[in-house]
Amino acid sequence: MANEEKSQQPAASTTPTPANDRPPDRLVRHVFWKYPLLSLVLLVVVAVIAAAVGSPNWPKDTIAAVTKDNPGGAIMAFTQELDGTATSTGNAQEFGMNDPGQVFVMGPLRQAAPMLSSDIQSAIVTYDAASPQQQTSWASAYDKALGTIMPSGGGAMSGIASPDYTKIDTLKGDFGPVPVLVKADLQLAQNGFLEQYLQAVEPGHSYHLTNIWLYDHPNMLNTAVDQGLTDDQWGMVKERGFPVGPWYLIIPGVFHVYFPGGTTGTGFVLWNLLFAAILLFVVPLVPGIRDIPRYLKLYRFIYRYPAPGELEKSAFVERHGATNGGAEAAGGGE
Amino acid sequence: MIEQADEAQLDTFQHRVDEHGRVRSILESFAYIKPFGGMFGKIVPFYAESYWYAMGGLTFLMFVFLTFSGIILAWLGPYWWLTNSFGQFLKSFHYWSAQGFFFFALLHLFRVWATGSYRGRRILNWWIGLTIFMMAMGENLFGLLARGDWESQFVSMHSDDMLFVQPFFFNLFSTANFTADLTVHVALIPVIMFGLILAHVMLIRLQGLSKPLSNQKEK
Repeated sequence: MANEEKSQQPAASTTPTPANDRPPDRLVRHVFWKYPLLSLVLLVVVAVIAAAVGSPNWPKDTIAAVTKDNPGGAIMAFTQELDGTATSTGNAQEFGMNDPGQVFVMGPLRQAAPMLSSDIQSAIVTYDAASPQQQTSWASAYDKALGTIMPSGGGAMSGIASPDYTKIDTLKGDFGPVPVLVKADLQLAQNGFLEQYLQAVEPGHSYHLTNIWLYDHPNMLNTAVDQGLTDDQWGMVKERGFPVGPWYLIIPGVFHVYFPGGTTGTGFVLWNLLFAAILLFVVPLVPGIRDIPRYLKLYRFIYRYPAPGELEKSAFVERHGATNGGAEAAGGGE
Repeated sequence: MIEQADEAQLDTFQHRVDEHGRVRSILESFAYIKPFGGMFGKIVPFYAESYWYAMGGLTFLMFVFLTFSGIILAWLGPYWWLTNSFGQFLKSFHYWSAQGFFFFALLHLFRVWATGSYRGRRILNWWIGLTIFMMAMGENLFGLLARGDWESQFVSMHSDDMLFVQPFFFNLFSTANFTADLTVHVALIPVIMFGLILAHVMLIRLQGLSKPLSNQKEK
């Protein structure tokens, strides 16, 4: 075996040539001494980049700020939570929460009732006394009416429109106590009560319900659309207000944007599993495909080949011997 | 020449000083300290003495950076890392270490592929390495969710809507739960990753480096 190897490498200087690009597998001492230096250099590099460039840190939305910024959107969110058309209603089971109409609208109102006006208190009583069908029909009618006071296009936001809050009192119809209730809830949201209430309902999961409510409000998705962060805008590889995002998610990103069904959960997971299966099994096992590296010969740029005469230098021979140790001696081999 | 039998004798400090000087011997001493010194392969084939073969080690170095900065971040909490200036710096250090992790991991993956190092029984280590890489992508998602800024809010709802409605999560888990996200990011995935990294390194020690590709006939 050893003789065979020697006979294959007659001369010490085996620079890569088309005739023979096999590097010597003579053993040398591992260059571990370079690692402390590399670690130090990389520590400094990472620290300097971190200090100079920072990292994405866009302040969180709060319910108070969002509802002051866009009260019409909040009115719409509360109404849709009551009539069962809110985002959170569709996902309530998955979020592990009860009926959003109760959690986000009626719950906070009941708790705050003693501090609220008698009009609001009687509106709560009226609503609670009505049948579920009646409650939904009031809220649906109001939801429909809100749709008539949407700004007529041209707004900065290209996502979901919000009702014009200044026209809210002009709406007429069979809304029951719903307009009074959602307006009262808007007040609770704007003065910070709702946020604290929702954080306290689930101790240990402070942001669970507040995030779910903020997603019912149109602002969050509209901001995402404006910032190019949604499914069709390569949102997966981007950050808000920061140039460098998770670029390494580009392959899942391609599935997400271009592949059929890639924006649905099931489709996205299946495409990624297929890609993982190709990497795990096809690349290393399928004849032909597993031989691609051998034909591409990129290894010539990777292996270290000795400079002419390097292996014959007396210092090298002194340290590592004149003969070829072979990879087997390092526990290598097939 | 270095044989495995006399490796121990060759590894003595005095011998290493004779071989390549005091400075290098001190620098590399971490690889010779017992008992962990046994994990390091002290001799390699000549062709592996290239920086391409250091990419896996540098990926692990980034993992170490991430672990130490992550422990401090988890210790002092989101309010600190979002508002305190040193906290913000450490969060940025953590962020850029993660960028480095993926950068070096992809170079490492390329090196392993381009040298055909998945051949034969080394396929087991190819599978372990890819599993580590995929877990790192999951770790990345939970880190994003645990950051506590606007992006965390949005992605928690967005990914909840998309990924976590899948039956394999049994609706047990909602990414809208910040506490759960932080726990998964800090105490679940990295622990599994660390175990897999240890297995990855141990297998390299047991199997040795793969034989070089060449245009010569396989022996």
